[in-house]
Amino acid sequence: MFESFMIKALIGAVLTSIFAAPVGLLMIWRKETYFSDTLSHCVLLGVVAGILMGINLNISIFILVGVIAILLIKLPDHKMMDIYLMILGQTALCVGLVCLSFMPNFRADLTQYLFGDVLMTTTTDLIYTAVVGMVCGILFIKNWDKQVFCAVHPELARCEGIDVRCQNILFTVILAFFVAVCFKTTGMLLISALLIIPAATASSLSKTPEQALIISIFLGVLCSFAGIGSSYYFDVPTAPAIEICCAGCFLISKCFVRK
Amino acid sequence: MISLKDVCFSASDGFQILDHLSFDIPDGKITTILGPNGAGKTTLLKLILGIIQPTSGDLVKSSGVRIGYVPQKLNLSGRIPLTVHRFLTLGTKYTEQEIDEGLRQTEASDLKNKSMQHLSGGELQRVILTKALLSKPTLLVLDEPSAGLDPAGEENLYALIYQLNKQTGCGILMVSHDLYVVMKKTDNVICLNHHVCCSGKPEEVADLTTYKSLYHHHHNHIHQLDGQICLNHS
Repeated sequence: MFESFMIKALIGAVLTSIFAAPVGLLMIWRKETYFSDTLSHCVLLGVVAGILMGINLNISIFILVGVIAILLIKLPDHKMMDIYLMILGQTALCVGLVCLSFMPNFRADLTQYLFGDVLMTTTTDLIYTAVVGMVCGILFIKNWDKQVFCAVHPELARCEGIDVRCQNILFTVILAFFVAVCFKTTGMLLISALLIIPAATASSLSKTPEQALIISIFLGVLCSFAGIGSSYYFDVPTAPAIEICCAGCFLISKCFVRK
Repeated sequence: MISLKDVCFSASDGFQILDHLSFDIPDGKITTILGPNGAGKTTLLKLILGIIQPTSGDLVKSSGVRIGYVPQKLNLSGRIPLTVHRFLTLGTKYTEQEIDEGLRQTEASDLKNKSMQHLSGGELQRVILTKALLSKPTLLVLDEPSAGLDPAGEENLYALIYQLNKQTGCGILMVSHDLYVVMKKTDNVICLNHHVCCSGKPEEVADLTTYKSLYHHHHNHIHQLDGQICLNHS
């Protein structure tokens, strides 16, 4: 039946989709859907930096994405923010691609970074994802109510004594963690889809934020199984298969739910 | 309970939004801020709420002041699934009894289990007002509470606000454009256009030519189109 690499791939995809649920929901509620694009497009630069400095790629990617995330928090609120972030992300991607073209022995692996290769998941990757996911999960559970309040109305939250700035930093740092951990499963180009599609589907199906969280986790896990299963039986690329399943759920929810 | 002394506020680009404001907001009274668009009314509220800090001057709150805030808009746009009940418990876990009592005060009991995105403008204002009241405020700050309401809804909302002021004794500070609706019940009016143009009881202010011409005013100076004051010595 399933070989061990399939089991590992499945665990990796399930962990990623559980982790994606709260991050994706808060991201769309905060109307910051372009954040994950910008951060994930910087991943390739992290790869370049890691190779140049000869350090572990996971670490170099996390450091780079983390630095960009902190810079994003420091930027003042600006009406053109979405445009600037788009420019930053795309430029980072292009610089990464140009740099990699000077490293001929690396070009073969490019698709793995762009579109992910969940079938290559190693035990170390799983442990890494699980530990990071656990830490972020605990932080989210402790701050969930405050995070939701800040997404609903930051100034109202501020008036009720919530440290909005601190919550913003927490969210952005966790988003950076997510991008740095999960690009292996989904690939940098598909991270946003995994964050946004289940979250958007769940939001339109639920009445409270907590319901949305549960539905989003459920959809993510379901689509991971479906995606990996179809990848195994029909020999299609895994990450896109997962995304297509998510998109299918979204379409079905739109057709059958009148809100 | 809150007193401002020479409070100035400039935006990050140096544009002076508020210019040497000095006045008191008394306990238990209804204070209304009037002024044209771009006069700095919302900025003034944000200073009082503590969301931003004055560039210079003192803003002193006496101890025990608890502010309940009713923002101008709650831009939910249907993205966040939220029932009225869940909205009211954001940030603080009130008991069912407190929530029922709060909703009864604002005559919104039947909205408890509705989705926030299905509420009409007037219902939404009542729910936001309920959330502000649940924190047992001593001062209720409302930013253009009637924006987007029809005349009947507007009248109901103001009647409710006056009633809350009488029943709970909490002070009210609100920004409004609705001169005639507001003037009847207000204890104190502050006319703002970057600086305090005039202030006092409504009947006093109404006699001043400055109030009548607040929206096109000419006192000792005129305002340029961008709101900058240019002195007119003639």
